[in-house]
Amino acid sequence: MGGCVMKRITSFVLILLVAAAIVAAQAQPRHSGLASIANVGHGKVQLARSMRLELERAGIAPRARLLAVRGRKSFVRLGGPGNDHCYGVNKKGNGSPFGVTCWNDFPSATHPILDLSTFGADGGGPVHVLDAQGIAADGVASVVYTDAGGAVVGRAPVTANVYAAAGVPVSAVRIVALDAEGRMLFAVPK
Amino acid sequence: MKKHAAIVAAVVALCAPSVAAATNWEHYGWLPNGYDAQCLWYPTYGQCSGWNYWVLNDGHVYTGGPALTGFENYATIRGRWTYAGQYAYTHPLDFGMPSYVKAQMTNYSGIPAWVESWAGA
Repeated sequence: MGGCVMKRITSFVLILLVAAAIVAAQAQPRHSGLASIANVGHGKVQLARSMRLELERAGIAPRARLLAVRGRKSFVRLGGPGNDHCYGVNKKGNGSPFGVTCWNDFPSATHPILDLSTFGADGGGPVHVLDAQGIAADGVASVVYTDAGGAVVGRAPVTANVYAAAGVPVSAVRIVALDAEGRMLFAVPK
Repeated sequence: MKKHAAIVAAVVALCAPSVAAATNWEHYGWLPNGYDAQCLWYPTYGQCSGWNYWVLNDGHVYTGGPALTGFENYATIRGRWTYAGQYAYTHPLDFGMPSYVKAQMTNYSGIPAWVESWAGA
């Protein structure tokens, strides 16, 4: 009689453990690392006076930390404590201003990249990607660009949370961020 | 006589146009927002400034979009896609463009956006 009760209790506990394991597995986020950026930047970047004034007018502390240099371009994080959700890119060494984008909701699962790519067109042609560049959350494994039909026509490597590629094919019209399994996380434009 | 001359000088000074006055352009509202004849590229989707030596164009999308914030001339249009909640601070130099251009904000994403685009010269 006592052995039968023990067996029932053991079975009940086992079922509970299996159920808990299933719930825990389902509670795991589908993607991880989309709300963090490991690269905190290193070294202060000297900003031109006009750039400092422009940032101050916009309510952004005129301080910049270097995230990465890719080719002739410098990628920086701008702002001060509690208000450093701005990122910029310029051409290294020529004193040109930083093109800056600020986004409170970056990085996040909803917005895992902050794209700083140049889109444009010449002579009446369709708008396309001219250079692919931006900042990616830790969970972004790669950034590709696709043509109007959705086919991948090139790739921008992501290193230290920065992606950059020049010489993008004229057929590229969209930037797509992927996770390690190749699943789409975000696209620019949507 | 001296007092009279001083008053005249003051009136002239007040009435004279300030040559150092800063120029700016702004669009605050929906995008698309009807036909804008200032736009050279996408007049039914964009809002554009007149010609000037623009230094910057700051684009902010409140809701909807995204919208392309940047500049254009007869030969070229350039910009960055700006999403809801983003502030994009762009300069002609960012895109390798000359400074005598039109500032533009364009939205052909299919999702109307409430935006603010402000350009300064």
